[in-house]
Amino acid sequence: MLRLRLFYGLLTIVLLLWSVGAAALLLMQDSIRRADHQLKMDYQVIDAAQSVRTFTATINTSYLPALAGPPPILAPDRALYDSTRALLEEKQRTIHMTASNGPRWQNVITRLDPVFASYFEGYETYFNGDAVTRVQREDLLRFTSTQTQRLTDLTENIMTLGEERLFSGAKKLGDDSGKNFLFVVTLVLLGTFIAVIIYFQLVRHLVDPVATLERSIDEIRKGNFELTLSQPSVGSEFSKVISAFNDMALELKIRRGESDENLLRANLVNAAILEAIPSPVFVLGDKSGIIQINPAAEALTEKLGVSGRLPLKIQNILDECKEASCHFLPEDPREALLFRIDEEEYYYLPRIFRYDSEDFLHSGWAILLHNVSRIRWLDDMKTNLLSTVSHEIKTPLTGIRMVLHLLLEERTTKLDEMQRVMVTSANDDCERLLITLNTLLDLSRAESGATHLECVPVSLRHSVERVSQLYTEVAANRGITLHLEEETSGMPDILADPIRLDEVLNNLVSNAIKHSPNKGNVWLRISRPDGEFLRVSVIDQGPGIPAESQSRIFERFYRAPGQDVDGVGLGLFISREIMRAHDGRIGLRERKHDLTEFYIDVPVA
Amino acid sequence: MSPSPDNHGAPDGAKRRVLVVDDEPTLRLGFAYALSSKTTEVDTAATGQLALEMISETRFDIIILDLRMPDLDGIGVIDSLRREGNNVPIVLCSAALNPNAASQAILHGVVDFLLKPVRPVDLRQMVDFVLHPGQQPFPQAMKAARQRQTDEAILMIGKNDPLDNQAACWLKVLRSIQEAYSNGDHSNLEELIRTNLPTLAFKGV
Repeated sequence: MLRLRLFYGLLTIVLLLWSVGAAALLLMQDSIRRADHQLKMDYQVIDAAQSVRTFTATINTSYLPALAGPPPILAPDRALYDSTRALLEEKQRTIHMTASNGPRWQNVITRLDPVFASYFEGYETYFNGDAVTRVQREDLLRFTSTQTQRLTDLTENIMTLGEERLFSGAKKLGDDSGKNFLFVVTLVLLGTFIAVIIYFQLVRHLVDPVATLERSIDEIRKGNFELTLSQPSVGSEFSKVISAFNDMALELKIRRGESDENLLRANLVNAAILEAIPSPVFVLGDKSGIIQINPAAEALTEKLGVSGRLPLKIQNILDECKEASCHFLPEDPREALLFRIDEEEYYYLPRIFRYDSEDFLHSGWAILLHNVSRIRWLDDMKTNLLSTVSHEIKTPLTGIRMVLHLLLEERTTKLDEMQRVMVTSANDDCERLLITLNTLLDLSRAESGATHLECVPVSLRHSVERVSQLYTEVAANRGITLHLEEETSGMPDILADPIRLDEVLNNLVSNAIKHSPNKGNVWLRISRPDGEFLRVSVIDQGPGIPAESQSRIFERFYRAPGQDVDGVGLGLFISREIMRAHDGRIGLRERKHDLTEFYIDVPVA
Repeated sequence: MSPSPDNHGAPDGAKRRVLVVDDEPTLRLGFAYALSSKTTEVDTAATGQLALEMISETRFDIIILDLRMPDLDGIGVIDSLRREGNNVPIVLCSAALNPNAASQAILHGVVDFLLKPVRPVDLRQMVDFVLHPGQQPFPQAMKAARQRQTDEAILMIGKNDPLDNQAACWLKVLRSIQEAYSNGDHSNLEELIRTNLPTLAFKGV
């Protein structure tokens, strides 16, 4: 359809061009032809008139002088006359033929014929020899001259008329070309007008739909899926495009409806989840600050007097996270932050989670404050209970142990064999119970007091020496030798709580001795793995720790299976707690050369 | 002899008289049994207050004192005795000796610590160590320290050759006691005790 329109539009213009060209050509040809014809006629009539004068002059010159003299003896030769007369008569006919129909022309023409006749009559008289007398001859001469004069006058008239007609013809030609020019201009104007109409038609049918389409696409991009484009006339190439576009808009609308619905549902679910979570939750965008906050968080911030903002302590941790660009997901309730609300203490464990969309457009942080006040309270309760109970048990136990020892001394009373066995057994149990109690007390101390370290610069070598001295005897009893090695001398002091550090070292060394074969060696090696830490390695020649247990040995109450050595499985846990409180490290090295190596790293002062 | 935990036996000039102060009955019984001999007579008191009363009535050669007690604790007893000008040797015997208490005790001339649980033999040795120091430099030094003759004690300890761990530790403590007496700054002393408490405690001979 559009193609047809374009074709017709251009065809019209082409036809117009052709017709204007053809009309101009025809008009020009016609006027040239007419001008040519007119010019010929004019030329012929003027030429004929001129010829009449020339021929009469020729005849007159040949024959009139003879009239002035006496009549000739011989008859004059009329050959010249006859031939000239024929020419004259031909010219006369020419004049007749080329004369116009105007009255002046007719007047001259009608007057011309009798004059020709009189002129020829005069000469006929002459050649017949009728004028023999002098008078007759003179009369004839006069008559011929008169006729000649009249003929000359008339031809003069005809020439004048011919000239006039020539000029009028030229003028008419000018008029005609003016008309032609007007006609051509009119045609050109008409063509322009039609071209303009075609232009507007094309714009309406070709450009307007495209422009509308473009506007509509813009609208859709802005999210307005409601619009539909009006269907153009049937057969337009655009009708397919428009209907495809409308289909697309409709589909988008439906899809948007669906995704809106999904979004709405997701929002509701989200809101429900957030509301259901008793812990305060904040969702922050990287650029937009707090995006979402649940009722618990609102309540918390309100109570803290920082409505709708992050509490400063949390903000500080978040800033650190932002700097490091990593999550902060602590597990230990002891890392909780203390908030005072209405004179009461609340502990919140901040869990800060980084979220990123794939295109990095939507990224930010989710912060969940896990209320661990209750856990902390229970933990404190447990620790206190443990401590109290242990002390309460330990006090009478020391009494019992004393009594058992006294009985075994047999200072005053001898025991029989049976009694001795029983008391010895009771004493052993008592000893074991005491060790357990001491460990439990260590645990409670580690748990309650881990954060209350009193760190001072300490010489690590002195600590190791103390421990080594403490265990020298125990080791010697089993033929075990303790070796103290220092990688380089002049190590810097470390920052540690000496008592707690000793506990750790004691634990490691006693473990090493416990698991060493008789007459074995235990090495205590001080080294410096990096600039920030000093390391003590405790190395023994024991059977090592089974691979499957290695990841669990630092857990509370964990004991590697198949152990025949006493212990409740708290030593390494306590040691780890203490090292953690020191910002230090504790670990087990990979077994090499049949040596088991535990190490601690203590920060340099 | 059938000693009971709360025996208030009659004084006998020939015998060493020991007072055991502990709130734990079995321990009083045990301590009394452990220490009682032909040459030693043991009295026991269940509370600090009771102990002060008995001390005011009877002269004891040595007092074995528990730290944690219900009414008046060990430090309270020491304080009270020293205020009265009673310089009787005291052995502080506790399961949970804390640095603060230990430093207060040391400044009051109580330099003998027993860490519970105690074996009878340790207890006897402790008493002997205090009452019959002999001529060895370390027991002599401790004797001087008990009488708060710090300079003398430092001098004596220096004679110990070689200087064992315990002696070296006490040397440091004594020096900081001197410091504490001279400028009243106890922080150094407390720090030292905190770090070395197990070393400072009595070890069997």
